[in-house]
Amino acid sequence: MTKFRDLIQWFVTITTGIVFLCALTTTLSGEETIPTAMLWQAMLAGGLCSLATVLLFPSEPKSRRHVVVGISLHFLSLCAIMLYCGTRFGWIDWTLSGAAYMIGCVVLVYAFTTGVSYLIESAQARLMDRLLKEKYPGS
Amino acid sequence: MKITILPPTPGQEDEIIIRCAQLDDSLMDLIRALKAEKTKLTAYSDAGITMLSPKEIYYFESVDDKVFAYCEKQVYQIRKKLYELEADFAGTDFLRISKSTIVDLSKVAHLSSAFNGRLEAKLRNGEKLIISRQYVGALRKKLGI
Repeated sequence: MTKFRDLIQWFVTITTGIVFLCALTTTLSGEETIPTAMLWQAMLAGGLCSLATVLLFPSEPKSRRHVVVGISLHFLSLCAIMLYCGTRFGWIDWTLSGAAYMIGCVVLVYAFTTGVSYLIESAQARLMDRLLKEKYPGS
Repeated sequence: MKITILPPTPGQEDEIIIRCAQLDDSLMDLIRALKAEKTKLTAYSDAGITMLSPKEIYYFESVDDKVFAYCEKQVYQIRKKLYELEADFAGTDFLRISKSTIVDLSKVAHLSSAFNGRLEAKLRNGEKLIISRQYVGALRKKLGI
């Protein structure tokens, strides 16, 4: 159940990031309309990326090395998924510049989701710390 | 709940009487906490055998199938399994925070966010413990969230 909840949370965060990037890209390119298919494509890409996150992101790392290896594998899997979706859905051309553009987008969405997660978790930790100090004033 | 404190008659020892229509979970927790308060643990160290009060223990940790009790500065071995200690101290301030650790929450000085949904608990003696993701829910429940 925890894994499923995590999957949904990641899906919402990652898909929001992808949709934001789609909106930014299409606006900057001067497009006034977007095909309906793009919305489903964004959700599919978000779903695949959230699945990769739940399966590959190191949730209980044993060491710093485990963290580095885990995050690297996770990032590479996201790049692979987005490069596949990008070429399959016609978002990018299968060229060096197209691939570089897509990897840049992955970095941006990664930074966005990491930032959001950090803010949420920090707020939760602060709340729990306050409640703990209220429960045990001597500590 | 009404609480009445009466002085004992001469020669009478301290006694706690619980009068209730039904023993519910909160009363069972109270009874367990009272019992745990009075229970001493047999602890082993190089210096010999010591009877430890739960109040002295900061956390229990299982390492290589052995369980150790960490006090402010000393460490003792306890000849009980971690799950047995978890059951003995259920309803008290002791809480399982990972597969191998049970901590006394009253000894936690500060909580902060750690990597990926985990928490870091800094104890009053300066030691730091990690609260695993899967046990954060139990801590939230303990804190009433």
